[in-house]
Amino acid sequence: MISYFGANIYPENVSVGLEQLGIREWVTGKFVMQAREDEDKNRFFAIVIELAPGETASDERRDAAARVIVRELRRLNSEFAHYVPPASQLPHIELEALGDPEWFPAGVKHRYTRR
Amino acid sequence: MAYEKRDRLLNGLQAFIDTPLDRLLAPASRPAPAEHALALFHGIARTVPAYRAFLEEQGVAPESIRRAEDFAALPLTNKQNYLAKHPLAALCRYGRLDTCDMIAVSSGSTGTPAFWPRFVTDELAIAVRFEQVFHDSFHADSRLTLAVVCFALGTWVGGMYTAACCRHLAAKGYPLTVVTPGNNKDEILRVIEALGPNFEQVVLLGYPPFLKDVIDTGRARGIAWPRYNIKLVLAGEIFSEEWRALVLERAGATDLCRDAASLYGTADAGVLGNETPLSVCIRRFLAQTPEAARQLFGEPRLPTLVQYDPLQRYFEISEGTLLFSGDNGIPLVRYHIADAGGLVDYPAMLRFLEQWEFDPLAALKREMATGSVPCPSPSCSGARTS
Repeated sequence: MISYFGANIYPENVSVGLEQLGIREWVTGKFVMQAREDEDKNRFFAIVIELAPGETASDERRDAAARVIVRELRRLNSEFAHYVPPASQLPHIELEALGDPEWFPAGVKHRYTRR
Repeated sequence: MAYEKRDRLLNGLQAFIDTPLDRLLAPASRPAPAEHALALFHGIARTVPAYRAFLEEQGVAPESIRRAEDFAALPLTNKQNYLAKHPLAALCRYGRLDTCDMIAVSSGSTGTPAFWPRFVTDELAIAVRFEQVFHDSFHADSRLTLAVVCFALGTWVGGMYTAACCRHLAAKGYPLTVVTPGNNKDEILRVIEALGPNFEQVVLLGYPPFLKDVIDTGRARGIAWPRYNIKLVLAGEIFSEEWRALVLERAGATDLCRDAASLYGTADAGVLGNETPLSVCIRRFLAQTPEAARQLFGEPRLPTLVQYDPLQRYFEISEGTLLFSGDNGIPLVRYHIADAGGLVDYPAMLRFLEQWEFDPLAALKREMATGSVPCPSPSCSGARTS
């Protein structure tokens, strides 16, 4: 779980987005979510998503994932919908290759949140 | 009509209003925290049907729990093995939801919400945490204060609970007035500009990134923050000391140890602990001394550092995560909230800092131009969460 604008966001809430038609075809289901801080110390919501074997990243895919995840989060998590200002709700999406050593190292129990 | 409830309210309110803060924090006869927790356990085992059922299911006979060691061996409760398994009423005293007068809602992991009933007297216990901040950090006992509740208002715990606690402080005699724009940025800025000039200081209570947004937006719109003497009450998530310094500077606030205080709060049991001038002073030292932070916390990254009252929320540690016991609308015994964290005894913390040649009490005194350092309650310990 992470806390973002005081809202508790659970990995389960994000998984639902990745299971939707149009997304699930090209992801493994693994991701890492974080409340990151920009250079002016403002928080933003970031999600690193693991691509399925042979899939590649694109702006279209990043946009599609962000839109679906935020839609499901708003539906499932009333804290997220009401605590987080609309302008800060859309997650910043990064797509990484299967088994990326920094985010999805093989042989290690995966953790869905990182500080 | 429930006359018992009426008595509970009147007695609770009377005690809160009549007892000055220093005696609330350090009563004349203060039981040992572990003994107090043991007595709390027996009360809950006797009166809360769900907890009785839980003990039976775990094969624990309440009368066999006689000493602090027995208490420390009790099975842990959590959301799954306790709260989710029993009807809401059974989790309350006497199996009655109407022992409470209000319910807060939090978002559960699967989209099924969790419900948290409470009574006014539960708020009064938590209002002491607010009183500590408003009195010791903001001197709101002697300054006309406007409290602006910027937490979301509605079924969620933060906004309504905070507004209630601030009103309890006003009832106690603090020259404090509350306004509740909630997390509506335009409305917040509007009320500050319109009402702020009537007060000697304005306290904003909200989630850290949201309050930063409010302050930045206000600056961009030409609000002269320094004229309002801004203070901040923060909750909900961790922030760095660099963040505190930046946001306070933009708000025109200058006292880094006193002008912002963070609360460790949860829907599960209100405010569990709070920053004090002392804890902030220590955290600022640790931020500047990463080696000391590493030695104390095992990593240089700073967790939240708060003080707590073990008679209100009795904390223990299990495998590097926090559990607590405390009275509430849903009384909890050894409830595993599972936040990563630890406990540092007050004397142990001072001894540790002494090794680093840092005396936080002296540092606080030096920083203050006038007045005395509010003396921290010696039995308060520091909890850290990350």
